[in-house]
Amino acid sequence: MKKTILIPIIFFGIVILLLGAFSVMSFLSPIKAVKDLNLKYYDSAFSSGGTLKDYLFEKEAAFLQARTQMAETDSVCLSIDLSDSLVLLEMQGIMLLKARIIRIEKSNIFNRLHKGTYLEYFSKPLEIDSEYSTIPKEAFIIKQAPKDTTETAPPVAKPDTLHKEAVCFNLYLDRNLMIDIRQVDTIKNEQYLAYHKYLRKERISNQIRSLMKFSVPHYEPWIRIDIPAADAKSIYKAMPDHGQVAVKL
Amino acid sequence: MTEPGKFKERYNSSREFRMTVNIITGTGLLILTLLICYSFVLHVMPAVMEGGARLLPVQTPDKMDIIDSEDSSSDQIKITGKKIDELRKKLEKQLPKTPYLVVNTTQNRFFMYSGRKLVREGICSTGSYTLLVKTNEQKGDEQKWIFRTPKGIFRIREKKTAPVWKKPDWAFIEEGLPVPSANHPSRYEYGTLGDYALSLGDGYMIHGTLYQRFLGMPVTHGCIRLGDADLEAVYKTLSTGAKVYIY
Repeated sequence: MKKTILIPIIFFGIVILLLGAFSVMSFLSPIKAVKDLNLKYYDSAFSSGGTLKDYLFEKEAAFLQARTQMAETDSVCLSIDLSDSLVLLEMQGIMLLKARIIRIEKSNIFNRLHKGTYLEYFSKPLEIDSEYSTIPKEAFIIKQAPKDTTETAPPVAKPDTLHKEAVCFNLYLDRNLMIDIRQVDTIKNEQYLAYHKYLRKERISNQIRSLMKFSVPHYEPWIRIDIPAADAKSIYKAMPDHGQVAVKL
Repeated sequence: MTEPGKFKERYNSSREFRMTVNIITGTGLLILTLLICYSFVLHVMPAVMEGGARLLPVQTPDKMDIIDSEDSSSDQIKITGKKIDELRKKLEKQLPKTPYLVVNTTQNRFFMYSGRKLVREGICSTGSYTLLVKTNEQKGDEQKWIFRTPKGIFRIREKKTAPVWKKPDWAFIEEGLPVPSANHPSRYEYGTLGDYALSLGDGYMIHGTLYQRFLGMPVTHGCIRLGDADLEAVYKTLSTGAKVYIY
């Protein structure tokens, strides 16, 4: 009888110990991420002193510098200004689309970066490494040419305007930053659930991989913004595969 | 039955009962453990991670809580302010000196600007994203045409009034009609393109349409169709060489 009680107690004890250890490692994860970013991107050229006002001016300068660099290319680029709650689609510095950000959430580590790190990190455009979306970038309709006039199809039907799609996409950028853009009032349909499932799977697989090696999990800084559906769709369809993004927090 | 037999029977059934209970309990505990671990990875770990970040001191706050009471280092602000002005001027230089057009092919809308000022906006029709396929059964090959409005920066190459549409091969193929020779009279259609046309090159144009009810929808073969009033305004405002940004 005692054996039968002891075994589950020991088993649970081990599980709790392991979970405790993993909690501590998770706790250390953002701290390690901040340390690594400060080591990699800290630029002493940016003055370490100064006031808050100085810093905000420098932030604006860093953002404009990234946008100016993007303006030298011919591609569509994305500028995300969280302080003014605006998303801009630009081409050679010309504004194509301006969208108001309705909701912002972001990782807690950005405010914990050293000023020199932040300014160096965001003063150059970031490049999209990969992306995932609930909508296709281009969706073609295949039409077989009729053999003669008797087979000619009727004119194109009016698009189904009642069809609601959930527009959500995330951009994985080259400096280990993830931007999650979603339409406001997301419709929780199959596409949205699949999107959530994908994000969850990515997160869990990264964490489990680290835990298996008993190492501190990798922390990926993230920004999530909600914008109107039409703008989200236009932005996603306009952005090229390895497009550039400028961010101002 | 003798006492030892009864005892043995009772003992066996009690042992089996205990085994069953152990198996059920063990399975239940395993499932519970897996659920706890799954919830931990899904919910607890991300929360703990973000919590960990909060313990670090804030180095670069987002908002300016108190502006006026702080003494700013005026020299630093002057330097940074000058840099900001230079960068803004650099961006301003990119602005076309003449009116230009921006076309959103996802929403089928156009915006005409003069400098930073929006002069006119409205609906248009752009490419239908149709892939027309003609199968040649005798040769066993296929011909394909993609009907999509190209994206990028273009310039108005030519402006025409009362444009005539010279129909390409696909215009006959998609109707099931035989393709005539290059300069056959059936190639030329009058009035289909509206009163004006602005050429973007490679056969793509901004022109009018007979199908005004389809404006705002992706129904064209690649060209940009505007309503009559919008077309006239665009034709009269944009000069040859004016930029057209299509995205």
